[in-house]
Amino acid sequence: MKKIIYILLLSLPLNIFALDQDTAFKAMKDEMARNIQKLQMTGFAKPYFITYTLEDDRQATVLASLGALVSNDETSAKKVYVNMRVGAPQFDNTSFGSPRPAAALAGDGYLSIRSSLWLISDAAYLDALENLSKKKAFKQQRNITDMLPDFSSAPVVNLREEKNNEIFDRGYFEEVAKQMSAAGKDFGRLKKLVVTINYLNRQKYYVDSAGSSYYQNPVKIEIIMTTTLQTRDGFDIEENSSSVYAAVKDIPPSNELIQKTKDFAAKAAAFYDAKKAESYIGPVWLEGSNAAYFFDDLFANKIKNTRPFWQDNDNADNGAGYLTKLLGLRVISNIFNVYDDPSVKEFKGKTLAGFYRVDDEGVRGKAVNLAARGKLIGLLTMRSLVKGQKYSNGHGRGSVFFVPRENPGNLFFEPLQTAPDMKKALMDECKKLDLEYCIKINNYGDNKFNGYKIYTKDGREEPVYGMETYTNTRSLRDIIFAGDDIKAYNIAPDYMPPYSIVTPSVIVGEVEIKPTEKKPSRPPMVPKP
Amino acid sequence: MKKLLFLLLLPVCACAFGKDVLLDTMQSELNRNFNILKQQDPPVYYMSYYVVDGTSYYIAATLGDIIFNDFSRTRKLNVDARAGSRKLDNTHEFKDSNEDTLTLATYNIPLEDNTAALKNVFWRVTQDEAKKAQDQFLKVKTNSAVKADNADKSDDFSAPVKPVSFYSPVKPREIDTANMQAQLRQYSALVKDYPFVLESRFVFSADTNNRYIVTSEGSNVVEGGALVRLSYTITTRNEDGMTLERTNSYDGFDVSDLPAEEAVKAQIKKDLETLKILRDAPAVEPFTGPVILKNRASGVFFHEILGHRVEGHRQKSESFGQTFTQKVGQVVVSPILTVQDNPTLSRFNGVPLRGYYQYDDDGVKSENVNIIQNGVLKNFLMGRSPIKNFPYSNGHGRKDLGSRTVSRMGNTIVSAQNPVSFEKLKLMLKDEIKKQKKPYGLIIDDISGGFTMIDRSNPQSFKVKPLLVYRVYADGRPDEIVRGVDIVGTPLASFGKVTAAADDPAVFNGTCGAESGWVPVSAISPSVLLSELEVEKVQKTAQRLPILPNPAGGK
Repeated sequence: MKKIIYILLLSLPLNIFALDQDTAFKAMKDEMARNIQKLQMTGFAKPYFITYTLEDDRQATVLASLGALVSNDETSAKKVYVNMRVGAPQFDNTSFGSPRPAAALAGDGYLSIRSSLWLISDAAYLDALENLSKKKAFKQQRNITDMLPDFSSAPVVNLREEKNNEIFDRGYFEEVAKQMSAAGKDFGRLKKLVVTINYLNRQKYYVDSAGSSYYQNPVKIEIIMTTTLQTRDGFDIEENSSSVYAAVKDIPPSNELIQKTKDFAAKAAAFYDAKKAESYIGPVWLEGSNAAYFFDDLFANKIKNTRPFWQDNDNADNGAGYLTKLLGLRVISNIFNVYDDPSVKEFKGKTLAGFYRVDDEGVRGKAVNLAARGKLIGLLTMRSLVKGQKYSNGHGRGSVFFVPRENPGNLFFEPLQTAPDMKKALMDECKKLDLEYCIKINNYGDNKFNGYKIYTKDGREEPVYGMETYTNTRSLRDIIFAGDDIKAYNIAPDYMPPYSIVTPSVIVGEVEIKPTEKKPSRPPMVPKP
Repeated sequence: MKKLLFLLLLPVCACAFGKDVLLDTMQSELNRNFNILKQQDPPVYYMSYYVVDGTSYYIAATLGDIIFNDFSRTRKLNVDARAGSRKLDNTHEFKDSNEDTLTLATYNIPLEDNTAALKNVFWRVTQDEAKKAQDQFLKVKTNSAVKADNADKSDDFSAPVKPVSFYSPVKPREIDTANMQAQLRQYSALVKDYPFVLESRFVFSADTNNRYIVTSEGSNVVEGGALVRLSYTITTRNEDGMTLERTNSYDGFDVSDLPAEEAVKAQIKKDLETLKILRDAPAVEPFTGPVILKNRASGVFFHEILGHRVEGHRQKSESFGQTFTQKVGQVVVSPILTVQDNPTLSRFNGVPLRGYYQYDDDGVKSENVNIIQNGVLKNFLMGRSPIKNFPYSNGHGRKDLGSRTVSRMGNTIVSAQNPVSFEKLKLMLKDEIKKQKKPYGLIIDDISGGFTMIDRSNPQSFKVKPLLVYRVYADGRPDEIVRGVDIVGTPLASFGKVTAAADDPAVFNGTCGAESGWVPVSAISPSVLLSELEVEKVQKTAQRLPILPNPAGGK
């Protein structure tokens, strides 16, 4: 097994109905031209801004368990979607209710793309007219006079990123997945060890009625390891590890991947003897990717969707960012500056999944300083503006499932001071607090996790399962240490575009943890074969 | 054609595949697990492993362009563990509860013959499913004790069957996808000349499934089956928002069963022209009167309205209408009709039948069942859930992955006494129109499907959705295509109204959905004349026609 996987190989045999760029753009532009000119119902306004997006996806999934291949799917699909604005830039159909793009599948040729766009443009226009009338009624009923413009102009931009030469060698990755998952055989305590490799090569075409267009060809490879075991005292534990790469070349060589799986399996198997967590209040260490997931949960998810959508019946827009209401206030520890810059392609040699140069509203993605010494000083914006913003900074990002809203690209958490030895920093802090042990989280997510007790006296680490907590944005301000191990982590949500978080490990000064109420299960009635 | 089928479905001895590691592993792991589980409290008294090893091609096109070109290979597992006893087990129907006893978890298992990996997944899944079965049994026991008894006190599971060994896998056929794409491009491009068409989809699918069934009663069955299908749906809308479509499908066991390209193209053009007429056709008002159901439409009608009501488990469950439960030996339909269900037939007059199988999903040999003889109810379709007076399976226990088996149809065959030519049947329709002094009668030429309500909480009624209907006049005016009707009625009232049938039996191949999932089926019937059938207006959309013209432009 060598690292040079990108020259060995065979490509996915899915490009037999590949779409060429000229055909895609011509179909989109031709249909756009007649829709922006002629799409109008008598007595109603025409659309004034339309965006078309075409995603030409090739996907493969390789799944292996205990050394055997379980699944090797390959799929290919092209979908088109439309977002449409009707009314006027000062007041249009957007930012109201829960709109979705109109979407359809498309074929590999000019006519089927146009035909799909024709039908979904019609549907999007009628929806937009209805939404505009509902929004007008809402404005009148609520007597809203302090209005922000729904649409801001932006310079026309026409860019084509290079078509990538990424080749996913399925045969190679099948073999790698099998060898990785075979590591589970050495750990009899594990009920299963599954390795999944998901590959997506997307050709994304964007055209809007203002004249902008963009072509991007991102790649996403996700390697997931999942294992389950039952602890000695009968608790079922599931451990996961996920790494997302935005280029095949970034994937570690097979021997490293296999070793990584062995380490993962060994770590998971050690939880067989783990003890159940006890109540704890004190410092918590989030190492490596755990820090990235922590920031994803508490910062990225709460800085996005800057402008809340008006909701009928005065319901809250649950998707709107909580932090955006705190402009000018300290939202994160003062040892951090935070910025977002989608134009950065790589960090320390790792390709960033959040890279783009034009957003999903045809606006150039620009760098934004979000926090300086912990104080929130900037916001992610799109064409629909918020108070104090004049222009979009190119963070209007959407998908086939969601209309564009303010979303991060590459979020950088830049520490202003670092602790070179985080374990020592943690232990010193615990000593100060007269604690017998501190906690290091093993797999942050969903406020339920396993981890390690680190004993203050001698630094001994002991696995603990069943910790639960209720973290909130307060924890961002309670960060007391940042490591010097700054790394990039790609985040790939299922229904939204990917983004990246660049961060060091962190220690949060105080987290309240309680033991799980979950009950143990009966052991297997039949011994493992 | 027959020769090709023979080649495709010829049982292949194990030596052709070498040792069957999957089957061996299933047997050994089932035995190892069962021997321990049967001693637990409550005991697991029966277990089966059901694996579908499948390959699947799916290609779709529209307007001359390809939308999908997918291939997949999967091996999926269901473990059916029954805890308690045959008299009462975890699958017993809950009363006044939403507890589901039919759903099974489906697991992907290794595609490769890796014994250690296979054993591990069988073991892990068996532990989970056995625990679920035991937990469910405890709940069932209490529920059955605190609720009123069923009138039918038959056991939950039939007596052990004589173990069978059957080994007949099929090798997946390599599909020439480039050629099939080229064909689909040509077929779908024909729509370009018809700009009133809003959407169209032309699909080729080819599935090869080897079903592996191993039971704790000692049966082991490996049966392979291949199904190919070429189908299309072409949709338009009327000014008033009514959706109109033409669909067609060709089924077979191999690509060579599909018709020649020119024949398919001719049918597509014919359907496009029909759709054009349908778009401007008058809408029918609600009507009761004489109707001919053309052969394939009649097949769907009998499948929906009669077939589901003679599935055995429905006679036991008191949540169902039990239309026929107490009617064995009585006339239940027109005395001219005889109805069988025969899964052992692979073809009818040369036409491939999707409902063909040799062993059902319980591993029981399939049988031809005479359901109705000259109008008299004789038998029910039986799986392994016994009912009063029908204690044994007749090989109709069927399921899709994710469910336990229930009794289902395979190839439902309707035949009639004294059949006449279709022309004669049409004259009889006209006579009936005159006799009843009706302004017209109807010929239901094509049906997309339908549904029937069998729960007691609903009226025992049905609705069948015609795609193509002609209005027939008795005064010599030409037949007229009409639109916008559904057939509705109640089964007992409708079955007695069949007065004559034609000598034109034809096959409808489809996929039937019920509580044990989707299974391939066929329905064979001649055209039948009903002295009275009711039609009502269809539900229609509130959608307008698109504002801009179709970019396809047309001729």
